[in-house]
Amino acid sequence: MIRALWTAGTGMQAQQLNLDVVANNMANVNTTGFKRSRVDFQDLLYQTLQPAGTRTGGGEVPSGVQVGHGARAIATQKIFAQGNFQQTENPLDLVIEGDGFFQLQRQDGSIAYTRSGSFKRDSQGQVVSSDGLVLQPAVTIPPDAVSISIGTDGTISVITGTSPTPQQVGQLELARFVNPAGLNAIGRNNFLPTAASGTATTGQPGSQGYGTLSQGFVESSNVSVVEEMVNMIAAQRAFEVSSKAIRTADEMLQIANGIAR
Amino acid sequence: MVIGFRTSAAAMEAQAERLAVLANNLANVSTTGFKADHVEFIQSLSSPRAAGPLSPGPAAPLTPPVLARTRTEFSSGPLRETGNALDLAIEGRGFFVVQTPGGVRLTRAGTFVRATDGTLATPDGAKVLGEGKQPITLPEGGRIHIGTDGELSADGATAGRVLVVDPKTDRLVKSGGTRFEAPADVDLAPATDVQVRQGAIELSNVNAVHTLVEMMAALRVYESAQRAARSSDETLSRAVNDVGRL
Repeated sequence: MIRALWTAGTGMQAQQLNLDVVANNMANVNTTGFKRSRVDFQDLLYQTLQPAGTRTGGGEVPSGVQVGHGARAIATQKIFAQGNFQQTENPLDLVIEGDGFFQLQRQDGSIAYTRSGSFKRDSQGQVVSSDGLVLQPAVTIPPDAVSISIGTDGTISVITGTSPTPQQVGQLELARFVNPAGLNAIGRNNFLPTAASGTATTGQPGSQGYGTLSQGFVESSNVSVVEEMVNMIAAQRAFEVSSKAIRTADEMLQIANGIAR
Repeated sequence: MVIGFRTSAAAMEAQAERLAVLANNLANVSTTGFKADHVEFIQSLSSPRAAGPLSPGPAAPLTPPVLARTRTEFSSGPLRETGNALDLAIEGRGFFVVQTPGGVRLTRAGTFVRATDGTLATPDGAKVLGEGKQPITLPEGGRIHIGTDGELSADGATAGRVLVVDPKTDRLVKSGGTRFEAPADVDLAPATDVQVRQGAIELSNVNAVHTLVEMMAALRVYESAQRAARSSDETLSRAVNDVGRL
C-alpha cells in the first residue's frame, strides 16, 4: 500500500519537473539564441518479490513478481536544433549557420559560450554581448568607422571616413564541443563547459565542422509553441493520473482501517 | 473461521500489490521506452479442507489463497519524431544493447547522447554497444546518419553499426533505468531484419485509460475482501456470544 503511494509520488515529482522545463521553454519563446530543453525519464529499480523460474508447490513459475518503484528524471537535455533566422539589419547581429558557439569573457576571466549573436559596441569600441561581456578574440571597432562588414568566415573589416578601402580589424573564432548537450546552462543565454561536454576546440567559421556566420541576422529561439503546448497538456494529465493512484491507495488504506470496528 | 480471515487478508494484500504495479505504470506514462507490467492472479491450491468437506487429519500448512505474478507487455509504444540525430527508435521487435557497471542490459529507450570520450551512450552514462559488443565511437564533426539497419555514418564514412538483438522476451527481467536483464543463457545474437528510425523515440506503452479502470477494479475487489473479513468477524462474534445463550 505504502509502496503504491510512494511510487505514484515519484511519478508526480517527475511530471512536475517536466512541467517546469516546459514552462521555461515557453517563457523563452522570444529569447534570441535560446535552445529548448527536454526531460528524459527512466523507471526506478524493481523489487523482485519472486524471481522467474523458481519452483513453488505446483511447478516452475514462468514469470516472477516484479514491482517497480516509479519514475525519475535522469537528464534535462538541451536540444541544439537550429532556430529560425530573423533579419535585423544591425551590422553587429550575427547568426551561426551550423555548429559552433561565440566565446565571451566573463568578469572572472573564464570563457562563457553562447549562440546568441546580438552584439553591441561599448564605450571603448569593443564588441560586447548585451550583458557587456567582451567577445573573444577581442575586436575593437575604430570610432570613425562608417560601416562594418563581417564575412562568413568571421573576418571583420571596417570602412572609415578617411579611407574608403576596407580595413581588417579582427577575426572571429567559434568554439565547438564534442557533446554540446552536456554544457551547463548558466542563464543569460550563456553556457559553461563541463566534464560531459568536453573542452572547447576553436576554429575559424566555415572551416571543417564549424558553421558559417551571417551578418544582420539573429537566431531566434528554437522553441515551438505548439509542441510545448502539447507537452504541457501531456505533463499535466500524466501528473493527474499519478495523483489518482495516490487517491486510490488512500481509499484502500481507509477501507483497511474499516476492518476493525 | 480463522481461515476466512486469512483468505480475506491475502486477497487484500494481493490487490494492494496490484495497485503498486499499476501506480508504477502510471508513474512511467511518459518514460521513453517503458513497457507496462500486468498482474495476473492464480488460484493456488490451499489446504485440504478447501478440497473436501471437513476431511480429518492434520491441517496442511496454509498457502496464500491468491498468488500473483507480473508479466511485462512488450508491445511497441507510439513513436514520436524529435529530429535529434542521436534519438533512435526500433520499429517492431528488438532491443538496443548497453553496457552498465552491472553488466550488459537491453533497452528500447533510444535517447542517446555523446559521452565525454566521444562514444554513444545513454544519458546516465551506459555505453551503447555496436557489432562485436564494443562501444561505438562517434566521428568528429559532420552530420551523423543512422540507417534503418543501424549503420552509423558521418558524411559517407561508416563508423560502425548499432547492435540490435531480438531475444525471446519471456525471460527478460526489468532492472531499472528502462533496461532489461537477460539471463546468461539467452542468445544475444544480432537480429536480422531490424528497422531503426533516426530522429524518433518510442514513447511508453502504458494505456492510461485501461490502467485507471484496472485501478478502480483493484479498489473494489479490495473493498469486497474487506467486507468478507467483516462478515467473518460478525459470524465469529455470533458464535462466541450468542451460541451459548438460550
